[in-house]
Amino acid sequence: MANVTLRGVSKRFKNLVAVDDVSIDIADGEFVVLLGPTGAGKTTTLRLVAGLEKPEAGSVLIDGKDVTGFAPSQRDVSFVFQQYSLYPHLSVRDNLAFPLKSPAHSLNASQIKARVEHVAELVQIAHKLDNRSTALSGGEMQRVAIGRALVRDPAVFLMDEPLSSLDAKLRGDLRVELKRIQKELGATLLYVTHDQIEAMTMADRIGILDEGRLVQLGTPREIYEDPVNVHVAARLGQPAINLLPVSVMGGVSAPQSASTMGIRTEHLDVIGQGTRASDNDDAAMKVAATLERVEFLGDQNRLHLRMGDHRIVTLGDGDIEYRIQPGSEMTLRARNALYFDQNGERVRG
Amino acid sequence: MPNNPPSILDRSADKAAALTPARMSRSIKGLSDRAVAWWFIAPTIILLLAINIFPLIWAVKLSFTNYRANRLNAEVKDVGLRNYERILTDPDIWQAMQATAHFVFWTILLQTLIGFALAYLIDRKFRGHAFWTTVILIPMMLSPAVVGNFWRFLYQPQIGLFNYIVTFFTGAEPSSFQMLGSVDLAPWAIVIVDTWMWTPYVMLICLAGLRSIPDYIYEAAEVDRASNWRRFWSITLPMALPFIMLAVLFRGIENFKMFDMVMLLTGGGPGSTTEVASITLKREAFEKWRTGYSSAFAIILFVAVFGLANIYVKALNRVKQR
Repeated sequence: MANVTLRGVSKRFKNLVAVDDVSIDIADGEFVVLLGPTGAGKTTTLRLVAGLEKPEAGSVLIDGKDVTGFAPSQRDVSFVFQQYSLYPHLSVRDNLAFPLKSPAHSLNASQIKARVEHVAELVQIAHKLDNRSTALSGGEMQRVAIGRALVRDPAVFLMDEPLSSLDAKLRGDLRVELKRIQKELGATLLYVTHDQIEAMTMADRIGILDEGRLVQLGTPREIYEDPVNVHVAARLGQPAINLLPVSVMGGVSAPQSASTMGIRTEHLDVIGQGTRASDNDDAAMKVAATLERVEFLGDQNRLHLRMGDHRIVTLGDGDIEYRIQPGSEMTLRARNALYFDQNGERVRG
Repeated sequence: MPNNPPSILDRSADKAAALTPARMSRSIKGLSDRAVAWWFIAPTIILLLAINIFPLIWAVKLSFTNYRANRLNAEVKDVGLRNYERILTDPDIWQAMQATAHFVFWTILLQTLIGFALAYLIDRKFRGHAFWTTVILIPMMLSPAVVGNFWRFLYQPQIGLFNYIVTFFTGAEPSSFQMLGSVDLAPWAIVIVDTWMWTPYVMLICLAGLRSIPDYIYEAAEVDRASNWRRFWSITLPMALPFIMLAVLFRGIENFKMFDMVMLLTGGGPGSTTEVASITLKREAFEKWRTGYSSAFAIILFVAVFGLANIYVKALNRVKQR
């Protein structure tokens, strides 16, 4: 395993700038997730590390060595593609053994067999080793694809939305599995996804990409609690953060340049029913709103509220629906508000 | 029908039925869907029976007789298996089968090798590859009769371009050899023409095979550190193999029954060196008028091609299933 460094890497396709001056340092054994919407340049960044694309500017370093001009086969990386890129005419066993048969490894047949069977165990596909790779279900195919990456001992693992085509249950299982395997191997892993839950649960650090630029890089907690702009704040959190003009909230001591405030759903507490909260209460950040709808999700309730022209969402106790009805008025108090200026950049109070 | 679930009318077939004009729907009424379907395919089935199946059965019947189509009043005698016996022991027939085998084997070998190589080059998508694909396909678009006549001129010893080109490279006298007139060269002359004409066809099928291999498979192999050589042998070739086999099947069947082009080029000569099976068959049937005998020969050829093709298709399916 090795560390990976991107230094000011840029890549354009004709007129489209796919990756714009991206620099990241990935430590040895670190799990870094690149998160962003479609077209943000996540996959291109990954392909630049693999050598499947050549950057126009900047350099890629693996284990301290500049590999910018190297072909993928010279870089000692393994790649899991978004499509199950299995070799369709080969069995599961031969698919897993394929990377080991490179002259770069001098393994004999019994060593290859042992290695393949070990990895098959790891990704729980051992019982299907002799199946044709096209006779597998989607989840099994992707497990084989992940296994094919794991079978070698590369400098870095690169994974491009490996779980996106699987159903929710399998995605959840493999998410946990993948994190466990990565920890076990101490692997350096660069992982691309647009699923914030994958990013939050697996990453040591998350890099948020938008329009080819790396907007913020930090631990999941840093990204969630201390976003640098509106885009990052809206990227994480389910339901999404409530974004309101500063003027809407009464008694707010917002910074001068702030125009928008963001309040996460869990930071918006219901403190009373009725239009007017008691005047004795702390005057800060209080607001009245009308309940429109309650979404019951079992462990929580999502309260959809209307506040003038704005719609906001907050969380309620599991049993709140017994106490309130749509249409009822309630008073809310906001905590830990985040402020953003007119360009969406964060303003720190 | 208020009790019927509304979804029944959502099916497009029912919507179409609801839109059928009243007069038409009345006349179709009383016929089940199945009956209507039979009415639609009946013309094709009748045509197939009349011009394919019936003649085949009739030929089987004739093959057991001494019937001659030019002597309508002669008595037709049942000769049992004698026609078959005579064909299988006739040295001329075996000579024709050998000429056919030579022709089929070498045309398929050359067309597959050259066709696949061309497809592999075209698949690199170099500048102007679409233009060159079209240029390469031209021979295939010509009629075999045109090609036959055309190559007769090219092979002409004194003025032919072919002999001139061979002279250019080897220095041999142009009139010192005759491609179509020499016993040794004529079997190769027809192989060359057929290869010239049909290699593009094999190329086209191989190209479809190569294009069906997705890029990410190659990218995966590249990341897996497979050399170019290994990528070709363990990915390109096995994944294109079903297509190559299909091309071989089509060309094999076509060339087994080759007639027109060879007839125009050599007419089976010199002697009978290029007399492939179909030419022999045509001589027996329409020059010697031995209708019963030639029917038996036709049946033997049919069974041979049918049997070989069946075995081959089984192999093809096995490759495709891998």
